[in-house]
Amino acid sequence: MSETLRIAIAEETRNAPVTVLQISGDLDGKSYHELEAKAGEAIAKGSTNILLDLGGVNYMGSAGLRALHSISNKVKGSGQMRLLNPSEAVARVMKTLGFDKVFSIHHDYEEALKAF
Amino acid sequence: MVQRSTLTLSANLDSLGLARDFVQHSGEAARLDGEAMGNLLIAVDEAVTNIVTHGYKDAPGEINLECEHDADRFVVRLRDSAPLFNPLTLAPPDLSESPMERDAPGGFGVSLIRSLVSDVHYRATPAGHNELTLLMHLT
Repeated sequence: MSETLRIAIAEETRNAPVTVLQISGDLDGKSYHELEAKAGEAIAKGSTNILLDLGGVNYMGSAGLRALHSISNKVKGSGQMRLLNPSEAVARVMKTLGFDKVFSIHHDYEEALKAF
Repeated sequence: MVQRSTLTLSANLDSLGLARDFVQHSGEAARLDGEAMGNLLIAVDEAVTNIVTHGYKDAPGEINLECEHDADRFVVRLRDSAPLFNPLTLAPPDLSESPMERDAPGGFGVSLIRSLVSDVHYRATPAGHNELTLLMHLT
């Protein structure tokens, strides 16, 4: 059943500083602006490396993909966006629209942090 | 035996979760498997989003959802009173272009719908409403 979008933010440093956005709930046409806004705030404060932990995303449609695309473009040139643990719901949309090949996807938190 | 349930929603993005919950509830009654359910929920969500943003253009309106199933198929019909428009006439986006080179992954709603359900139809009803029908085969 549908769930409200929730976003928790953490700062981590391994090889480089990384802002981690842990996302859960539904990423749809109503809520995707919230993710864009949260990531945009972090980027405005100087974050260049963004890790999106998508393991708790219950639902994602093309609007959610639009948010991922937007965040990736915002850090392009200065840093990177990487994805952690895309749920089945996320993987379904990314694969159908051909985005599974262009995003950097990880399944281990430490490995993802060290990749930046 | 055909089983049918209906829900009328306000045409705004707050209704997206309600639309998905309604279809999920009906799909569970029809024993849709996990993959078919996931695909159908995306298709319904994209269809409702399109009606709200492109049909009514965020003006007030209503969307009527009808779920119907028998042993062989699960059908969702979405009816709205926005200006008549067949979304299936939209040219598909160029998926050969590198995804990250696209300005934004917009316009993919109809492509997703076509990819994720067994069949999709549009008609203008005799009463002058848009009707989009999403069909999933159950066998």
